[in-house]
Amino acid sequence: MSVAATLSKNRYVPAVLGLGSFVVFVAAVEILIRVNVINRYIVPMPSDVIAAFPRVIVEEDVLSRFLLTAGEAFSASILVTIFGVAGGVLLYRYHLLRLATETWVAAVAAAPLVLMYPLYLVIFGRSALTIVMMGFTAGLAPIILKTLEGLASTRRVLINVGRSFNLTPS
Amino acid sequence: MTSERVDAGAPKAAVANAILVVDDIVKRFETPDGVLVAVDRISLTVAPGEFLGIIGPSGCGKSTLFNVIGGLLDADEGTVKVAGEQVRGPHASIGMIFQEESTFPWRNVIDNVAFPLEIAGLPKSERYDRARHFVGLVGLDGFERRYPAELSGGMRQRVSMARTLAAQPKILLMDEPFASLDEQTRLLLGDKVLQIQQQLKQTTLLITHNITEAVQLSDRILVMTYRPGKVKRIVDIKLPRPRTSEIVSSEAFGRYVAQIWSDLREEATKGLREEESQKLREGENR
Repeated sequence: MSVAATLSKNRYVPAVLGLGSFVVFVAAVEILIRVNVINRYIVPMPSDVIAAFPRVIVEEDVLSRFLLTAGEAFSASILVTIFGVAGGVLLYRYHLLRLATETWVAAVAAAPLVLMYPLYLVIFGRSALTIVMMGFTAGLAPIILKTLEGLASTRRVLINVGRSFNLTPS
Repeated sequence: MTSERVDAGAPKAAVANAILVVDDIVKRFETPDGVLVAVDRISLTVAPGEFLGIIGPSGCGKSTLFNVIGGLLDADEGTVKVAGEQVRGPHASIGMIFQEESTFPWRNVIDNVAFPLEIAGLPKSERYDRARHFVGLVGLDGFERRYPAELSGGMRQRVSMARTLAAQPKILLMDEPFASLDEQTRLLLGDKVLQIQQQLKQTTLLITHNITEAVQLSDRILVMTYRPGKVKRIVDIKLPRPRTSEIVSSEAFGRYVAQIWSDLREEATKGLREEESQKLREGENR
């Protein structure tokens, strides 16, 4: 068996190759900056970036900021899941409601909601709630549409299989 | 060879040891052309361990009857009882195998078969042990980790069968399970069904429009009329058991097929005429 064939069978080779390529690239950038091929005021040296990590983590309080953002994203996704999935199920269950509102929901999904963000600042103030509501409104219409699409495209026979095992339809 | 004539208005079902009693079932549907009576006063009884075939032309209400017995559709009149208990909705005693491919594509074979056991809340090791037993029963040993997309149509139907059997239903309902398969696979799977049915003493109802399949598998065959679906005749199949697909070449088998076809031909012709006149009406309305 050739060396190439042996390597291609080893499951660690792709990961090692990817990591090695990244290290070589970073080292190349570092050298090019040091020999002034790349301007150090435009691209910082990778060694400076690495050295700055402890300072950023300690002085900029990155962990608490990260947790705040994660909390905001989590809250928005919970709200979107509750209202979006419920909305999608309602539209799937009641055909008339779907006919009446689906195009409106699709229009909202396609609308540039980012233009409404200043309005959110006025309504909710400069707080985490504004960011949560931004995430919620941006995600609501797509989640309704995707829930509806998922339920509508589920094959009838699979629903019947579930029902035959005493599961509820939806 | 014996057969039993049944009046069009089938008699009220009443058999003491029957595991399934279908009594005077009527099912109607509202259509743009008016009320359609899909099933009209059908009564039947099935004894424990019996294999009953239900045959009829396309559109005679076989699948409607399947859904009513399985509890997926409510009957407008009449009752379905399993071991004396009235069926209102899907019932744990009834396992259903559908005509369409119904394996879950995101689950591998063993997880598909373990599905009803997972719902029943069985511990993981126990449900996988039991699922492995039923995978072996349908002859799919070695395919436990394969996904449905990696299997043939016949193998996928066997997965569905194993999944339904894993729930250990008292009655197995099959709605044209081999309709999408080629004739050779159909005969071989028929052998597998016979083998499993005899091994488990499983009470089975097979809905089909294939006469060969019905005669190969059944103890009795109920022939339905074309719309509204009624019982036209019940034929006792007195072929020896255990059977295999080799029986299709026997003289007695041929006589049963001819007898059932003579009943069915009239109904199938009616269905064909009805379909043609409906197409004509649709063309005129366009």
